Amino acid sequence: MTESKTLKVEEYIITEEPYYEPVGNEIEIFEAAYRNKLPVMLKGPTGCGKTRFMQYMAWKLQRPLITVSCHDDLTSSDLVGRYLVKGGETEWVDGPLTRAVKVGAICYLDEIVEARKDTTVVIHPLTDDRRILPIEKRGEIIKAPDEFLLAISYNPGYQSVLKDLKHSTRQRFISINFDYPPKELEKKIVMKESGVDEETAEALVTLGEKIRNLKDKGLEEGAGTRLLIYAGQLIKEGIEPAKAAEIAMANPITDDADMLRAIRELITTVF
Amino acid sequence: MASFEDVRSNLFRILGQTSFGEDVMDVRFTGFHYARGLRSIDEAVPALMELPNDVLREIYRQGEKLAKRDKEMAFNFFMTAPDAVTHFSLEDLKKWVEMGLELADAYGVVPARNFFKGITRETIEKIHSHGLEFKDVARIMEIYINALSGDQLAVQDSVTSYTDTRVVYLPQKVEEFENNELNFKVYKVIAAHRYAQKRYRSLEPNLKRIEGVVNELQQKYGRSLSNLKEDLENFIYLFPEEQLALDIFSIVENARVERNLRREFRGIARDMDLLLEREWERRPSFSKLSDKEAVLEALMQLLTYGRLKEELSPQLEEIARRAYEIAKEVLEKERPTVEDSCVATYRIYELIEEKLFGTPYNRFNDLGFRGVIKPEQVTAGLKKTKKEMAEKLESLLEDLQIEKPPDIDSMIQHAINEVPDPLAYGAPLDFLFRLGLEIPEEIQEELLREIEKILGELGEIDASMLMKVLDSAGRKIRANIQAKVTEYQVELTEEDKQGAFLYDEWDYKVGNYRAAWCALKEKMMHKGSDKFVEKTLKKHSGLVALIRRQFEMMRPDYKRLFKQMYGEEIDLDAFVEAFADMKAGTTPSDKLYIKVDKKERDIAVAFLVDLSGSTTGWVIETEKEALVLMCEALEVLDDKYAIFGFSGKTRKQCDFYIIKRFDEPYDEEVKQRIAGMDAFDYTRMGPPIRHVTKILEETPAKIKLLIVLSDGKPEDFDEYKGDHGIEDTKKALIEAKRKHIRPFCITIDTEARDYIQRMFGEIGYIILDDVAKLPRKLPEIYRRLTT
Repeated sequence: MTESKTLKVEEYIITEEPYYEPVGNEIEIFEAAYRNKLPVMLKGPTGCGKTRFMQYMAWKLQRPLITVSCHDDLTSSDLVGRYLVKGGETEWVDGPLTRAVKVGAICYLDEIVEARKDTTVVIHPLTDDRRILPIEKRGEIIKAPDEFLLAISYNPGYQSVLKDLKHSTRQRFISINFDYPPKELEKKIVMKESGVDEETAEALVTLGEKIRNLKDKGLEEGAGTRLLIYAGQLIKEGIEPAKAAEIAMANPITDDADMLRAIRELITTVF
Repeated sequence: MASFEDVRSNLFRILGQTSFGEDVMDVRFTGFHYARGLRSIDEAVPALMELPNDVLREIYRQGEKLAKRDKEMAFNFFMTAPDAVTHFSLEDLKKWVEMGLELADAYGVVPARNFFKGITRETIEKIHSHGLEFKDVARIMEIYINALSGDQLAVQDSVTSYTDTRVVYLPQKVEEFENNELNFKVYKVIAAHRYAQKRYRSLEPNLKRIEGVVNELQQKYGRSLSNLKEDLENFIYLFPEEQLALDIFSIVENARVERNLRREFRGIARDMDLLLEREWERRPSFSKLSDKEAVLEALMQLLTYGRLKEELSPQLEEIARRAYEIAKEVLEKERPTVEDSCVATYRIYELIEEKLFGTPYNRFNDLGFRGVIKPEQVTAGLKKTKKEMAEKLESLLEDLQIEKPPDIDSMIQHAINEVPDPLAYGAPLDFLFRLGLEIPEEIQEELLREIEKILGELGEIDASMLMKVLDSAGRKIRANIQAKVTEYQVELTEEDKQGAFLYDEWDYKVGNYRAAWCALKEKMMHKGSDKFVEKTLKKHSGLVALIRRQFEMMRPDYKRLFKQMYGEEIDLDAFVEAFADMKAGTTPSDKLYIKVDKKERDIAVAFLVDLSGSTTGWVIETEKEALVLMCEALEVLDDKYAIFGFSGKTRKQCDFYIIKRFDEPYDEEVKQRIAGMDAFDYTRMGPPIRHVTKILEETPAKIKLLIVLSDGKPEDFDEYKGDHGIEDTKKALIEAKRKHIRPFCITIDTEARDYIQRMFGEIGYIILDDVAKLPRKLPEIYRRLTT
């Protein structure tokens, strides 16, 4: 067993180069945004490499990366900080956003639409030229250092009117579009990440492509590259390819029985 | 074995009551009249007690399923189940329950209750009969084949399987095997085979590429090409013995297509082998075939199995072997094309004619899963695609203000024929150029990239792909041009204003509103047939049941809301935080409670239907059907809903049709109004949106939705066109959003992407490529929008 290690979030600097294959000029764009202190929005379907890209950029820029996965119970104190009582004394504890601002880290709010609307507004003063974080409870304002960068991810795929990003929020970010990588590149990624041979990777990518054909024809979203890699990893572990693909690529993406059956048939067509 | 008490308590748990009524005929006193007798659940217990535990558990499970639908139905089931398991396996028992549920969905619970009262011979036969029917696999096959092709092929049933390049016809029933899993594989192989025919362009040879052979054939047999036919039909017609030529072509083409399919998908290759093995036994004896038929049979066997099933006369075998050599040449090429198969067809035909001239030929029956090729159907299908292409091109040229060429059809034909090397970079641009389209330089690169994506890895370009190329080019070009606005003004008279709501209109060029510009009048939709709703529900009975069940699951359930001002429980997290704040000297929050509440569904939705002239016919009919299903679904929930329609002509006359107001129940009157919906004039979208906004504003609800059903861009008789119409609509939607109304658009205009995104934003719309899907899609979209 490898030993676990406890780090403070702001000490989490990625030391080894994460594997990332650029599809376009997203790296240059991100660097330009960083130099100009512009907040960044990563837009694209699930599992196409947004989070990996963030890790790569954090490594490239040598800044700590603080990731917050947003959910519908996330309150602004969860981001900014709160008082805790310790042995009769109160102690202020910074939230991840505050810490990121203080140490000049990259703060990545993953799936921002999931957060409650009143939570998202706390990031507003950080995203314009003021670059400040007001901490209401303490009556303080923190000015962000030049190294600080705010990034969010946003998946326009969920077509629920109850979960759209407000314009007042989204217009504060420059936006980099992500999509599934082209076939050859995706094959390379699947091989590299899961360790399967070329033939298997080819089959997985073909399968992914076929499943993605079903987007908007009953599927909300196709199978992301991540799922392809998962399937590859299971195959590498000796699980029968069709079974692995079913577990990793069919079951996670739909509950519609007919759809599931059709995808299973695609799997047994490819493998 | 289970005890009496045990079984009884389980039944009570599932059924929730101890006795059920029954109609008993009572003749003792007053002649015939019905009395309600009572049956206790205790009656069901003794027989159930006798059953083994695993069987009993399955019966409980199935009973629970039924009880959710109807308790009495479930009770009848428990009464009959002990008898049922003497006839059925546990698998069959599930089938039996499914049959009952289907019956309930289609005809209501009363016949379903009776269904479970006993087991008839008919039921037993139905459950034991094998064979898989088309209707059981239709949806799966449609998904499957569209996933493979990335296209929009419809799936329908037919006696024989074939495709006309637009619809894939699958057999009505497959009973090849006892086991339905295997029968399913048969369907799958058939579907994959049809996909491969399309994917490898089996049905779309380009005779221009084999001009030499075509000329030779024309001279030899004196038959000529016709403009009324597509290339495949033309090619086959060149031969005096058309059936023979078609059968040779099919054999060679199937070998080529299957070779490719096997390389592409090893899984399907496995399933195909299974079928090949099965069919081998059934191949006819050569002695029962005519000479020509025997040669074709032998050719097929050699190509498919690499051997002959039985001995053949040396003379015929010699011919078959030579034909095989010709076909093999095609297959051994690096990238054999359908044109190669055409040439091989000619050579084999010549060979057979030379050796067996004048001998009879009826037809050749190939392996079942290969289906048949129907050249005349292919012609019809391709003509349809080309007609659509012509329409798209025409409207595009109109927008570009390029003069329409006199013969657009032959121009398209020409452009398709002349697609040079489909693999060459830029070939699609060349195609567009031949269509008379000039592609602005600034979008060439982008367009090419998009086209490459469509064409993907395919080296073959067929008509439907060129259609997509035209589509995306059209979108790009359109987005790039500014529509020219015709100046056309109409004045509002006092009469127009009488009884009308006056709405402003946005003039984007001035950057301001034109005050009180449009006169909108509310009109009650006239009533239509009172049978329409009934008919629709019957037509979609399966779907209705499914949608109802799905919507039932959306009914609000209880949820714990944290950090509330009032509530039943103390929220410890909130309390601790407040305590800490207090200690630290800041003002604590007073939201310290947990409220257990129904997850609120306080939704009001208005459907706004475009009733412009372009929706005439099946578009509006389908929209009406979709609305009926939507109403059925919404009746399950407590969401408030209203349905309005709009159309009109110029700003004088913006008609706003009321089909169902928020405060009206879904009754006969409303149903007839839905049936009465009709297509009228133009699409001035701004005023009706502003009017619905006003109505929604007056309707109390937490979430307000406006769903627009549309078939095209905003356009009116006057200057309400192009950018002006789009910008005004966009403005009206922004006004709505300011009032916390969330607009969403469902459009069937496949070219809508550019303008619709401008109006409704990135996630505010969905484009349906096929209006026929609307009845299924509309409730699905609504469900997704509100969960």
